[in-house]
Amino acid sequence: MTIRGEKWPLTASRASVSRRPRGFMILASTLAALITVLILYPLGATWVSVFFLRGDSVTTILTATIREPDIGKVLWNTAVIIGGSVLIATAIGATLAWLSERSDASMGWVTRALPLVPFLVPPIVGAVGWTILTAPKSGYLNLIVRGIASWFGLDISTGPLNPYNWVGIIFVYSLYLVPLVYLPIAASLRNLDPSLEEASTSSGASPWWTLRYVTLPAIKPAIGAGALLALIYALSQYSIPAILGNVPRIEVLTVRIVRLMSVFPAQIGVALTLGMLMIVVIITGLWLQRRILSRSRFATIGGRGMRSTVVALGRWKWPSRIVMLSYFLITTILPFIAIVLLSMQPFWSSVIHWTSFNLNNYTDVLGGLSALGRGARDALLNSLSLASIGATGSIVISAIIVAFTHRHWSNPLARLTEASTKLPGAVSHVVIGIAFIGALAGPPFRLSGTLAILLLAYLVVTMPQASFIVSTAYSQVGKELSEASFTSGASETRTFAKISLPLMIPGLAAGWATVFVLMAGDVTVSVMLASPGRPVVGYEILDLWTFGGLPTLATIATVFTLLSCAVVLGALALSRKMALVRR
Amino acid sequence: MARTQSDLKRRPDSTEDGSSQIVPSISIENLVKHFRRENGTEVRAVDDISIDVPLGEFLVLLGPSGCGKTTLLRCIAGLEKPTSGRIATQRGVMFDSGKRRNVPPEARRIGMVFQSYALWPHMTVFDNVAYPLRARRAPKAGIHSRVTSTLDVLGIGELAHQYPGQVSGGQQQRVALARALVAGEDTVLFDEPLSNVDAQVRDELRIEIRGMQRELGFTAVYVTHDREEAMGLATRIAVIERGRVAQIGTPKAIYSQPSSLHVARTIGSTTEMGGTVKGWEGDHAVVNTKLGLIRVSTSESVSPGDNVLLVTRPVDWQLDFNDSPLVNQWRAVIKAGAFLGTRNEYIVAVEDALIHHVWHHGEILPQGSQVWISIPPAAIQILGDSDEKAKA
Repeated sequence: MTIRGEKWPLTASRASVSRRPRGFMILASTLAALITVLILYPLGATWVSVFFLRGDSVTTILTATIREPDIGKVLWNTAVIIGGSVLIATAIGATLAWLSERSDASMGWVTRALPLVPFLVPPIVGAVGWTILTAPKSGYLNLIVRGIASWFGLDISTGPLNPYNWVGIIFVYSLYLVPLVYLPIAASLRNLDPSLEEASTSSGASPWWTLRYVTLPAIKPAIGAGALLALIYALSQYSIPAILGNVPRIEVLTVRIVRLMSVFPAQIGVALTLGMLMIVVIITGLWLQRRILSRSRFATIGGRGMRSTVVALGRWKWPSRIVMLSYFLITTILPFIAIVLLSMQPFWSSVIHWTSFNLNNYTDVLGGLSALGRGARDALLNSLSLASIGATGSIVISAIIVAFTHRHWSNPLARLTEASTKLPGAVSHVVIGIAFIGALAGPPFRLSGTLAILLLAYLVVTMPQASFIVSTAYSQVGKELSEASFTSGASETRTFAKISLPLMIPGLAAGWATVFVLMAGDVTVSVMLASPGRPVVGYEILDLWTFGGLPTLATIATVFTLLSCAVVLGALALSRKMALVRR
Repeated sequence: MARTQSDLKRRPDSTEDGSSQIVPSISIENLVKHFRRENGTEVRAVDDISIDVPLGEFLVLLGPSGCGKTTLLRCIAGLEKPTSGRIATQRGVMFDSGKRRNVPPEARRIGMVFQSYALWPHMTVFDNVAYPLRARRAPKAGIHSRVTSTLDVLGIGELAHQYPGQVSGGQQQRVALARALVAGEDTVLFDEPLSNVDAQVRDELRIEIRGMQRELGFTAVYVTHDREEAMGLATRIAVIERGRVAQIGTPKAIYSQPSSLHVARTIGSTTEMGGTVKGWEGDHAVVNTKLGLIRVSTSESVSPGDNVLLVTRPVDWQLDFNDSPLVNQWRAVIKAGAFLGTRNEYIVAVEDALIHHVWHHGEILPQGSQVWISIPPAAIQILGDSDEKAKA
């Protein structure tokens, strides 16, 4: 063998066994500590200051909360809307998941595209779009329906559709909850060992019987998880009730809390008490889920790559497909068309002026001609830059922290950070908004109305999603790949830079897009923290909605939706391309 | 067993002169590793193991899956933090629970070959193999020639610019091997490296690994559950059972003098019989079994009345068609047989007693054939009775 003759240990023969200060460790633990502080400090500081340091006693705050006008009605409204929409969304989401995973009505792209709906057309755009479609006087769908009715000699002046009522609100809520339910159920069906169903079929059970007694019980935890996700999301939802609830005076908890925070002086004590009520509901839900999961055995996940038998729907195949397609029509295509139409009109009226279609609104917004246009342009630019910076920061920080927590699991800071990054998922965004106002807006930080407070709040509210996606990407890389790097003598910094990071890129690209869209499309936190001088998209859209300027609103919504789509699809394409190179 | 050996030696870190022949390459003392399961129960994956591995030894850790052998290996590499104990190499103390010392894997200078190869899919074969040198900041000029010569030695020189995903499983294993060897570490750990390649490549690579280890003189610690692999590679085998060293010794010693039924079964197929010692006949112990009296030549001091277990190897049984004057011979009927290529394997019945795993060469015999079977007294191992049998 030729290597014999060479000086075999090529590198210095004395190992540096001594503990050098390790750069990565220092960087990662600093970042972990900073993020933990950023998440915990505002919540903790606000809570302590409201309940213990201010003049008001806890009793005073509780009394004020109970005496809050119509508070009982607000709670009742919240319960009805959330309860109703979660139930409806769970039923629709489970049906769509079963159809696309287990029946021959499945269309490949449906599976891939359905969870993206809220990213392609954000709820606030959807809510506005549906209002433009169904408003009693000038709603486009109403115009069409009334037009058809007039051919039959029926003369109707308003309606028949109306978004400003219980049905309208619950309908739009449900539309945006469906993907949250769909995702875990579809994943569970995909991972479910097909031999369970095959055993049932070969025992002579009909497909219906198999579904009822084998499939459904096996995916129960996924249905529960989906419903819980939907519940948490619905509780924090602000844009839909803010757009639709004002006219019929159907007020929900989030709207009341935001209103309490925007009056002067801000009723922070009452707002925080109501916010904690939401936290209690969420934590009860999480606790129940844990209990149910730990009590029963759901170990039914088999190996992947097994193709399950598909149920032939026969003559129900096409109707099922139409139902699936109409979900896209209702959530994305129709509202988006409505918005685009309005963006090319000078104003919204009960007659569509086909002759006056033009792009004036776009030149106004993109060129910043009028005051309205300038505001809209500023909002777009602010949102896009905040989301680009925020998403990049969030993903890079998460990647470093995830690599750190995975290797130093025994380190208490690692555990605390891990728990903290999950916390904003259990705390409503409204509460995080309150906490940021309470702790960072005033002295000593005085961040009120700055883009910095928005950026920090965006980082916190998207931290659970960012760390979840990055964590998944990290575990897909495989532990042995980084271990092989360590036993090759590479430091943690080198291992992260040369092995973990490059291999995580496809997952990180998807994570970046998710965080970008969440930050750019945020409404709840933005409404509480943005200011007229520093507008962002979510804030500006609500502002235009409240104070008039619908064509400008439609323009900014169109531009924003197109940009979101481009970012999401671009990141998906990039991540798929990168993943293919690796094979 | 391993304890007594290590006690005789001096502590590795107390010998600064380093000239002593008996300085072990790896010294493991009272190593314990506990895991806590999700449900709170504690698993003792490594339960007080002490082993010294001399320089240049090829030590194989043999045992069934879940016996703790891989955990022990990962503790040596530094990928797992032991609960307590001490690990030292020639380069110093790597882990010492008493002194709260735990050198990270990147500073231990121990090469490792992983079961899953763990090749980095985004780097070429060349870059994969060059990585340990670059990580240790070797002079740039030396890297190219070193990597090329290592790849050539392993016969994969022409693959240098391919990606791991583009080469076969056996070639991937060679790349992993090259990566572990390229930096010239004096210790290389192997975690079941051949379990994912097909049988033919496995035999080939086994011979190469062995040759390479003798040639380069590194100390190897190799984990496997495959007894043939263990015997083909090892200078010493440590049979691991439930986190402990059941027996350690040369392959020959472990095969012919297993210290327990478990070791006997781990190292090779067995045919076992329980019985009671009846007495001595010259230097043969006479044991009463279900087959009748069996004569065993043994150095074990058994006395009449002892319950014992007789362990034999299937290959030692003789199968004849005629009665010949042999000790330990019985008339038997073939109950079932299987043709296995290099041999036939039978279950035979001596009256009511069944004997499993009797190997024979030649034509396969039909069920019901009348034969004579025998076992030489020297081929029988006596093990004290015991809970071993109860376990069996």
